[in-house]
Amino acid sequence: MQNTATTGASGGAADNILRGVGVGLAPAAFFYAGILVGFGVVSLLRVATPGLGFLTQLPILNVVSALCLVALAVGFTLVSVRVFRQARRWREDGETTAANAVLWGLAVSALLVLVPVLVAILLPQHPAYIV
Amino acid sequence: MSSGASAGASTNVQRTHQSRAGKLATRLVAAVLILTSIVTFLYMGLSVYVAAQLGYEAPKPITETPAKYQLQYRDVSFPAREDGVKLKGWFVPGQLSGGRLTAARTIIMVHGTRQNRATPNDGLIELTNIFVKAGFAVLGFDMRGTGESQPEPLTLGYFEQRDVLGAVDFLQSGPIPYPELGRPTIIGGWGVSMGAATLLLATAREQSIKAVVSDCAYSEIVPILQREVHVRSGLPEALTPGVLLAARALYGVDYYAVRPVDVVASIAPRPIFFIHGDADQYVPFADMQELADAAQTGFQAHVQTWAVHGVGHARSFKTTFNGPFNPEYGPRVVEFFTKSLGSDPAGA
Repeated sequence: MQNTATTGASGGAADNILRGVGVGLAPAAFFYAGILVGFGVVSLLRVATPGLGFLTQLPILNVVSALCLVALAVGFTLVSVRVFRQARRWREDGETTAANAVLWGLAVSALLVLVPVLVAILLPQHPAYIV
Repeated sequence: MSSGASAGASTNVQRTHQSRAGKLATRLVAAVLILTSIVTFLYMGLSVYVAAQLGYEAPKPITETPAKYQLQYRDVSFPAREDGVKLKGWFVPGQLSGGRLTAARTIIMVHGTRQNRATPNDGLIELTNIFVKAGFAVLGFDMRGTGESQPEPLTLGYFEQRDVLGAVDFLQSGPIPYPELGRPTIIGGWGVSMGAATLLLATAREQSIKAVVSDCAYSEIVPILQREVHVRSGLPEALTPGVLLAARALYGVDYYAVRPVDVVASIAPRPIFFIHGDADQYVPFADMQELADAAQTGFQAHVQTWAVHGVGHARSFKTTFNGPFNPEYGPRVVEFFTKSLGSDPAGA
């Protein structure tokens, strides 16, 4: 009986951790989904509007790219704020495990968001310097 | 009772500690998240901005024509191969002895990036004059996004090779500019800088171009972009991958594929003449050797090189922006084309 109770409690804790980490990873998921959508929208727009002529198409593409970036930044901020609030609520409700897991998830999100820049920095660069 | 109160107080202290630790952790994670997201969004924004700058520049006007040397010419227009981009140019018949005109041996002239078919900087009209007086007809044209051709993104050879292929199609099956002279029977190509790299890419795909002069072509464009993004914007070279990805979304161009060094061997056995200034500060002089070495690996390759001493990028012919011209350049190039394309059937 005691074993079952312990198993149930540890199972609940594991669920809370998973739930918390999942919520904490939401900003990273939003970020990458947003990049894919933005890349897709700009590429589709370019392919779908060749008849406009490049000089008309170019400012449209630039504006849409900028809007996608701004939308991504705003969306990312809103999602992050909601996730922080959720962590605070869980902490206030005494669900410390879930709240801590959210913070761990958010920390991983912070690193995941930086991955494209890290990859770019770590990629071997071979600039054509004149010796 | 006393022990119960003490336990309650202890729990409260523990909760307060947990709450403080939670707040501290929250602030720490928030700070890291804000920092990393600012870095990433800044990187993305700059990448898109630089990519937008890279892909377009207002075309320079055509300020000279072959009439400068009293040469006959006719304006022509033709579509690029594959995507049909509208291109403008001129056809200048070659001159034989006695003033007879000929179109038998035609040289397609391919200008450099952000230039046009008549850019005075590179002396294209002067070189046209040399070719024409040697009995070669010349097809000069503006690549996409330059001169009078259709506005399109500048892609450093990725899409421009279609323009060269369009020029070949025009000579082989388009409206004949001088019907009385007939169609060209043999085609050669001359290109400078990006034009040379583009010509190499196109020649590897088109057997009808029988000989190529490549003046200061790059072996691949990405190392030059890596350097130029840094030099021109002051931004780190690490920005380049982001810029190239943004360019792919904005213009559909894959700069990583602009690598003449990968295809130049397939031009053999058709002859190639590589020319490069050994003081070139834009395209490293080593690129010529890299291209020549790669070209040599082709079956029955005919590769010739000329290192022009003390001159910079695209200055092998017109040695400075205001001249003078290198007196060796014309005779060497004409000799190469004469050997490679043969004599005019009507006699030079």
